[in-house]
Amino acid sequence: MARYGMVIDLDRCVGCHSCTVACRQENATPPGMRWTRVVQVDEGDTPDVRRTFVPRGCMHCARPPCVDVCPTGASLKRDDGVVLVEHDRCIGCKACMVACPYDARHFVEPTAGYFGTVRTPYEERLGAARHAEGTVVKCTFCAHRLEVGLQPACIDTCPTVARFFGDLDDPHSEVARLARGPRASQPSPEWGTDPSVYYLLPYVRRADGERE
Amino acid sequence: MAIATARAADDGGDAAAVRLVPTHCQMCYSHCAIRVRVEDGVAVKIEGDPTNPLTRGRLCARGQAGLMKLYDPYRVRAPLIRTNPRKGKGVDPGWREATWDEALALVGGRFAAIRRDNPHKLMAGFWPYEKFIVAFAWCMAYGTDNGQFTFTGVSSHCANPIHLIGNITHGSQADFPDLDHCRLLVVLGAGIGATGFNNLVFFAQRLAAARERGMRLVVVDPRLSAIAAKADEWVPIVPGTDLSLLLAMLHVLANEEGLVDEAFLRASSNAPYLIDADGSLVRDRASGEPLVWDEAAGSARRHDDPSLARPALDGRFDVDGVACTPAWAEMKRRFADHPPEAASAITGVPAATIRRLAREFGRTALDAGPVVLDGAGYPHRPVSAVSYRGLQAHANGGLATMALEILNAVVGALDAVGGTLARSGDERRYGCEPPKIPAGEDGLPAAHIPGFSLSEGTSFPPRTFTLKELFPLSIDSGHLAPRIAQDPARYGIEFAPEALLIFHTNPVMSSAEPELVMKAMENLFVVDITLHLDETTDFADVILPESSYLERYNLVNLESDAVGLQFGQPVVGPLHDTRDGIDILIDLAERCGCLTGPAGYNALLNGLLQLAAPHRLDTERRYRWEEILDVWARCRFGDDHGIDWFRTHGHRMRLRTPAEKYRPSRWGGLRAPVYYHFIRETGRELRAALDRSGYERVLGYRWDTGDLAAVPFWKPSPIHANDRSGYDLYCINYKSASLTSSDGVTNPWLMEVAGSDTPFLDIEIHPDAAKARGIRSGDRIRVESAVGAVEGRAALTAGIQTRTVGIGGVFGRWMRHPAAHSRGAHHNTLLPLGIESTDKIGGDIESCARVRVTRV
Repeated sequence: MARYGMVIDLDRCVGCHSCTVACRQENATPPGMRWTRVVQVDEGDTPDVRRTFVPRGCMHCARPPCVDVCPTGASLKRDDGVVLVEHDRCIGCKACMVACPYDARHFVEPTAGYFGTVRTPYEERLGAARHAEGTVVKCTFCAHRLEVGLQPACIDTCPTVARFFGDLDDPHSEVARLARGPRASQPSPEWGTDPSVYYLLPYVRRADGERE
Repeated sequence: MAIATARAADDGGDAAAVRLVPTHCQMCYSHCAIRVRVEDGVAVKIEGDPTNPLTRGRLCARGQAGLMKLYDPYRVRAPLIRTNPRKGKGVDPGWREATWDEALALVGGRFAAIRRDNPHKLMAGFWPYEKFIVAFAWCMAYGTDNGQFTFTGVSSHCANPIHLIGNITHGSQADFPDLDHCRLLVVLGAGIGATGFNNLVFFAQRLAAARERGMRLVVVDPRLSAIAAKADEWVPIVPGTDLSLLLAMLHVLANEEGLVDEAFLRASSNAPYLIDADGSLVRDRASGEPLVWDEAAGSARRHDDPSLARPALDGRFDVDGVACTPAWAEMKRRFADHPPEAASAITGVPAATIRRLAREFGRTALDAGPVVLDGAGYPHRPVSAVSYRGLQAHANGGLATMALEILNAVVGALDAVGGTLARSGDERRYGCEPPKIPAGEDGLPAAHIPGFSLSEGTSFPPRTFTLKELFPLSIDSGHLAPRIAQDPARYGIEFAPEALLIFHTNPVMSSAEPELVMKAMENLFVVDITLHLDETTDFADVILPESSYLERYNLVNLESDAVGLQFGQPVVGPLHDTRDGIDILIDLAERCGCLTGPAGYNALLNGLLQLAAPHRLDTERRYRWEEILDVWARCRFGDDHGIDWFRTHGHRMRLRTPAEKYRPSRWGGLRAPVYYHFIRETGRELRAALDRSGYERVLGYRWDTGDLAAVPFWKPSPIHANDRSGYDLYCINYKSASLTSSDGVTNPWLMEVAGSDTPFLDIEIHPDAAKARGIRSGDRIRVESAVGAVEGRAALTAGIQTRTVGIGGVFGRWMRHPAAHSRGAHHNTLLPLGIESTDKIGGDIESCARVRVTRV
């Protein structure tokens, strides 16, 4: 069985937020809720500042603590590794939100539309009804796209080709190859969740033109 | 299983109700290819068009957010006419809805009367992105000299100098790095591949690949921009001093290291042209052609003499009794005035850094071996230095851009493999095949940009409210109109404006000194073609609502490296009672009597779009824009490629071939100017016109034409003056990838990104500067210049030059739109809208302000 996963090259990411907005458009997430986002991390002093753009989202962990704590079985990990919430079984207890160390789960509050009280035809068709109020939602790896043979929306749109998607269990896949590389690292492995999202850490570029 | 995904339920639906419509994006001026998924008449998803060779199906954040422009409930839904005669900031105009017939009759009647009286009394401020030539044709047909970018100014939006300097250097209105082959890229004040610089997606992919390959990236910028964050080296610089840095690099290359491409300079530039002691070209008596000294023959010869063997770059000669020297020798002497030590004091960049960068630039260029592409050999100089508003939008931006192009030229990188390439020329806009660079005088490229007058018609008293007469080389100086139009007699203009037509722009926010801009509109008849009610429409008399880009037709190519045309078409019908902006102009032209006839709008379009028989517009009938596009498409691609073909295929675009973009074929034997003789000559003509007319007595002071020089020199901007009023910091403005123009603020998706995870809505300040003022992160601070003040939240960052604060975007809005209202600070409030803070070459407004910063 496959284990879907993602590799994100932090050396390539320019923090343009195309993934953030592509995810919003694809999934019609409520205002203020971003299933994927990009944070900016600065280290060092002027002029030797290292600024890294780090896309964040659900890690679709192989050992997902959010699934373990779910009292109703709404949170589940599929055989292909995708971690999902069945919204009709979710009671909105938020235990999974507490358990998730990556802050990747979101509670659907009653919210207005993107423009306030008036809802757009886009929202009428796709929006609020799909994200049931009082439940917890999250990145699905665009499961509905996977079903029809497409990649997640954030992968397809990335202008710098910084995001890769595929089967980590297939040793010949691009993501498996990248995840084995010297720059690859899982976020916070000490938490023991075995994330299916890997980061490729930025090269350290030296003044003499070499990189490490 | 009921999974919380948006789409799962839809994909099993009625396939017949789902359409995938190819069109173009217009969330910025790049017009990337997109496909829009429409389900039961509702547009539900925009994605990149994978068949497009430039974007390869990828799309930026702005493009992903287009549906929020289409479905924005705050769009204007019908023509509006003012009922409250009092105009003022925040004063409700009392709009009442009108029919198109009523609104157009009102506007057309007024405009027709003005045209009969004096058409120059109508100002037109247009910024309809790609369609500006089509829109300009309207101004030309109407007959006003105060059209094009008047009042709004490309001079306050864009990097004007490169349009001129790039054009006269190598037939390019903007140039870009050849990322597929480049080994060292130096970016000065540009967001290439990360924020704003032509097509983000095109450059982002190629820049990422180039960095992966090992290309070195150096970014010179007062702020650690997104691209600076990706650089091997970030060089923080005092704003507006890039000119100084470049002159010092030129000194190192030319005088200290001798790292110049002498073969290129001798054979392919005007560096060997002989000049006399005054700096004028020494010419052949019979033909008038410039002379060079042939070291092989020991005599002077014409620059185009086929027997010319070895043009001299140095030495002193005597030609028919005239003492002369090659231009390059004089340039080297001038560069010696500005060694790295002098530049270091101005720029804040250590002299050792400047020397290292210069050496690296020269060596990387000159050490490159020969290269063969597609079986043909091309010059290989894999270094490039490129810029955008960060370098150019300053009072000395024209001189800085000259120095930048000279830097590229002296190492032979212009149109070399891996070097700095000319954009496919103006012809790209019309879908024509790329021709050679148009030849001008003296063996150099022509100084001509269709639709613009460069150095033509400089006569006084002026007829333009932009004082374009004083800026004969610039695309425009449109931002000056609000000041001049309020007191034209003061500037010797013998008539006053009566009306203003705004099209797809918001000069109150995107120019400078908003209070002055608003005051200028109080007594004018103002008509605004727009999607939204904004700060400018508060002063409009009539609103003519435009359809959004997802409801309109278009053909366009503003790409850097592609031939062909991209199509735009409605993905849904107009949601409201709105029209295409060009259809509105066509209607107004008819009502003003300037649609038909030999000088009418149709006739002008035939010329500007290069429409050839049998595919020409009948000058005596009225077309819809969609019909014009069909004629245009058939003319360019044949009768089987009318817009019905494009409706299905979306675009007919291909990347340029090596022969189409590299020397020597594109140059057709022309030389590139490194000695900008044309600029100097224009300055002398301007001086003579001023002397003849006595215009400076009206102006009240002597107009300095010294910037119009053949060789760039260090010239401080007014922002660099020693300040005794406590304005001790610089304030700059910057873009993000999600917001590059003023209308992005109406998009809730993009504003959500702007307001989270980055300090884009805050005011960036260096921790040292903050500490000295008792400012902590998150404090509310006040930024005050000589002309205005704004407030915002402080964000402390080591990623900014120590004496600089940064305000992003075009925020601080009072327009009544929930996404835009009262968020962030408005940088342009701080900028003086002054003649003296306008670049005398490029016409751009100085976009940096001297400020003082205090905790509120």
